[in-house]
Amino acid sequence: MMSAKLIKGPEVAAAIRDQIAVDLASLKEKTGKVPGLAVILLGEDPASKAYVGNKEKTSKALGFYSVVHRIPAETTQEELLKMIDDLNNDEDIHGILVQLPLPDHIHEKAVIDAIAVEKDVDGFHPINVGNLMIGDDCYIPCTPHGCMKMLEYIGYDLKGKNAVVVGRSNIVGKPVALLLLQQHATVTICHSRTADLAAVCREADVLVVAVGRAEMVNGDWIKPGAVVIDVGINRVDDKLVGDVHFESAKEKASYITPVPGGVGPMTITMLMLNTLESFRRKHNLK
Amino acid sequence: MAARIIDGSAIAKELQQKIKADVAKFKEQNKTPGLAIVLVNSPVARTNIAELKKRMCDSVGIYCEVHTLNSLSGQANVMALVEKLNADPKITGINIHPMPNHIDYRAVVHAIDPLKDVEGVHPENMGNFLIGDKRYIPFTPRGIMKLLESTGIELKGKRAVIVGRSQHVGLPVGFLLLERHATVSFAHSRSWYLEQLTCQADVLVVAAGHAEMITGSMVKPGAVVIDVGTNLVGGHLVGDVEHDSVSQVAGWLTPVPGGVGPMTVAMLLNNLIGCCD
Repeated sequence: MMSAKLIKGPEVAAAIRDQIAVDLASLKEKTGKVPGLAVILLGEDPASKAYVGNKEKTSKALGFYSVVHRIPAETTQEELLKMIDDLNNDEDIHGILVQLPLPDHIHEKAVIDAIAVEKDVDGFHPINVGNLMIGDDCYIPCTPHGCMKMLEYIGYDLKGKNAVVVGRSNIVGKPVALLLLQQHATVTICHSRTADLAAVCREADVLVVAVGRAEMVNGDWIKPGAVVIDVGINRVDDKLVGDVHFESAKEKASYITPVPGGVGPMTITMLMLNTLESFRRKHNLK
Repeated sequence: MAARIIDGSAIAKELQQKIKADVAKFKEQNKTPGLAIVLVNSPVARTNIAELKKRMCDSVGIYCEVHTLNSLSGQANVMALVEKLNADPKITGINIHPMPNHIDYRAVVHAIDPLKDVEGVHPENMGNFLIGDKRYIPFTPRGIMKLLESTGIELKGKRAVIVGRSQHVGLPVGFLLLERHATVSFAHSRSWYLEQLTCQADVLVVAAGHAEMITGSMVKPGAVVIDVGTNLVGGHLVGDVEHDSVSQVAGWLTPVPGGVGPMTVAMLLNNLIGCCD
């Protein structure tokens, strides 16, 4: 029995952060400035607070200028939009992120649409999504970007291969499918209504699973030698598990991302990469 | 048993009647939809299609201007025209025809007012389309969905395979099928195992621009096959699907000509009606 090699998120992320640090140093020397990331957090949701805390910590550790606006959940949409507008016009800010989900009284789309496209480092603004679709310059949403970097890290050539994406969300499934397609894979998107999901998964040379159902994909569904990217994070009996049944899958796959320690740790690094890219574009530096 | 033919011309005619009625209603409110077609004279300009669009507009009561720039026109000329049309209240929709190589088509598309982007190709409209918040959907894919609807087949859970991944056809039609809960595969010129994939398709949409590349042996018996290709071979128009062999296997098939083609103009005008709202 073979056992899959692990694609470790922290290891890949560290390699990218090292590169960010090198690039940042040279950009700082050229411009006398550093990239700035602003994060807005409404309310006290514990998970959101933890995410925002991590973003702040990573920003600072990398030497970015970091601003976090922690504002009450009762903030009105008008106030929030005003704050975004100020950040859009702030010369020192290159990336703006509004932590989702937002309280019910705020229209999420209006907020995302209000962020300046060139500062939309989350890649959620429709113009960024549209540019991603037509293969033009854009900020790639962080989680799909992280998945692609993991494939790049192992030197995987996607050209002509069968890639299967399970899950069709706007933030993972659809963009990751577009990115795989841009790398010339044949891409199939599956979801809860797919007939015989197991059979479709078995065709995959690369399987990306992002559905949010604990251990739904097991080893029987995996083509021997496939690369498995598990985007799911589910809490089961106080333990974190992915959407893939790790123990059985690792007997079939050639590479697999563990949970925790897989795609998760990549996301913040991708955010930093996008913010750095925004800084570069602003200063016309490649 | 031979495949049933999906008659795009007939479906487009019905749609035209509906558009005509809608235009009449708009006119009662003193609103007239107006289409501007922009083309730069060149072998890719498709002047004849522009004329066809103009005639169809005339017949349903839509105001239409065809702007044919001479072949020496540069980027600045095209951009200036688009700016002028953006500002023109008579024009509610702008349709850019394929441009010669010396014109940056993307820059032109970016310059269109997204509210007048009847083609649904401006990145803002593309992005909103992808995340399910629609204003304008590219009209060829929309026409394809109408043709599929006409067969009455249920798309939910079915396997749909799209051959071709263009931003105007392949990608949007795939995401429209996904929205209807099909399992969607995008294949293209670099795909390995193409035949293996097409043989599983309950719905096969071919928009690759290769004459008769899909043959009967590549099609699942009973499948619905939509042929988006129009290729001129030896003076004849043929699709991306080899009609004779595929019609022996498929359950439904669009002919070329007379399938997807007539729908596109009708759907363009249908999008334009949406623009006027």
